[in-house]
Amino acid sequence: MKMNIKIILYLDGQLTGEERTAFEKELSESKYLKEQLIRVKNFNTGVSELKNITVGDDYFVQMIPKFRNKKAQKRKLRFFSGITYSVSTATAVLIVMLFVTNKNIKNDIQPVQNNMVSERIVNNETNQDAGSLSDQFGFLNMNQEEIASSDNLLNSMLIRELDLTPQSLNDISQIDNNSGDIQTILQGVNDKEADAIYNQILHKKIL
Amino acid sequence: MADPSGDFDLVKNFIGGDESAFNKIVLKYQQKIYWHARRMTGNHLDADEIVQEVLMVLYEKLKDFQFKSSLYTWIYRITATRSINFLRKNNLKNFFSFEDKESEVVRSNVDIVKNIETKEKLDKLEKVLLKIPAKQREVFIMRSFDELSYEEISKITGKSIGGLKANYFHAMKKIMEHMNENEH
Repeated sequence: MKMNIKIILYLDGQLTGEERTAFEKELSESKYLKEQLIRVKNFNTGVSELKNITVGDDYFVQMIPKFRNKKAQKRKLRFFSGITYSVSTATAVLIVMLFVTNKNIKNDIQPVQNNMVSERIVNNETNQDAGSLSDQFGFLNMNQEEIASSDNLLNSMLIRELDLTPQSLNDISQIDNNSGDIQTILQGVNDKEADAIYNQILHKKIL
Repeated sequence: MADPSGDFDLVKNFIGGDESAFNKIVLKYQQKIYWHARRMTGNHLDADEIVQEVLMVLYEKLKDFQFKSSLYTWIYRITATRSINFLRKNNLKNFFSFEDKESEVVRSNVDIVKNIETKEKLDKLEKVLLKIPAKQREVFIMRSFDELSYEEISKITGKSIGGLKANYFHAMKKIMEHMNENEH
């Protein structure tokens, strides 16, 4: 059953004078409209009965004390939240500072490491990759003088880095009769082994 | 509408540091605040939550109240806004929540209305009111229960009188249709 909209407007006082007169005439002639009007009036009466409901005083009496308690709790919470916020902010700042400081220290170490590496490269051409002791330096095409000089340099490096004495170095080189000069040593060492030896020397020196 | 006499003095005294003035204001308007929230939410616990929020706002903002409207209009505006916000927040919570129906039943069983007959009538009405949109419900409550004129409702809600009349009409239409369905 659809509600006639004019009934609602009529009871709510939303009809103009003319509209009201016209509707009242319509109402007097229609049983259906009268029934709907009674329906809405009964509903409005029911609503009026629920306007002033009597309840126990307890709830309303306790309303203010409850509010005061809640306010006090909120103040405490605000205080502790403030402290937590301050501590969190301070911690975050500290972490950031540590991170930045650590980064700066690492940046300082890097140039020192680079300097130490460059000292280890025997060749005057310091940009060359010194990871391999293969014929990159053209040892196989060297003359005797050059080979002897390289020999001496290598020996002094080995003594220094491996903590050997000239005698022990001599002993090592005489183990194999075919070894002894840098040319022979190099021929017996493959690229991988050469890289490994070089990196060990480098690593030992830096750390 | 509530009798505005004495409100100015109460507010002035509260601003001056008299805490008992705030208590008097609350005593004067607490029932209006509660029942509007109750009719909007349909249950006592939610209404109580809104009441506490409203009192908190009143306490914090009363010192800034400049009597541009009556104190009653201002308090009612806060109550109406908090009620609508609460319903919105609840709708969102319910959408994402996996809470079962049991908690809803518990919520509806806690009540300050002890008379069984009155409670039954109130429950019936609250169920129907919850079926209509919050904005229409709000106007219906202000017009039917608080007997406010459209001008007064307009001051509280900030909406146009024409819009409010339309809202009231649609609310009544839906309520009557729902009541009709329940009877058949």
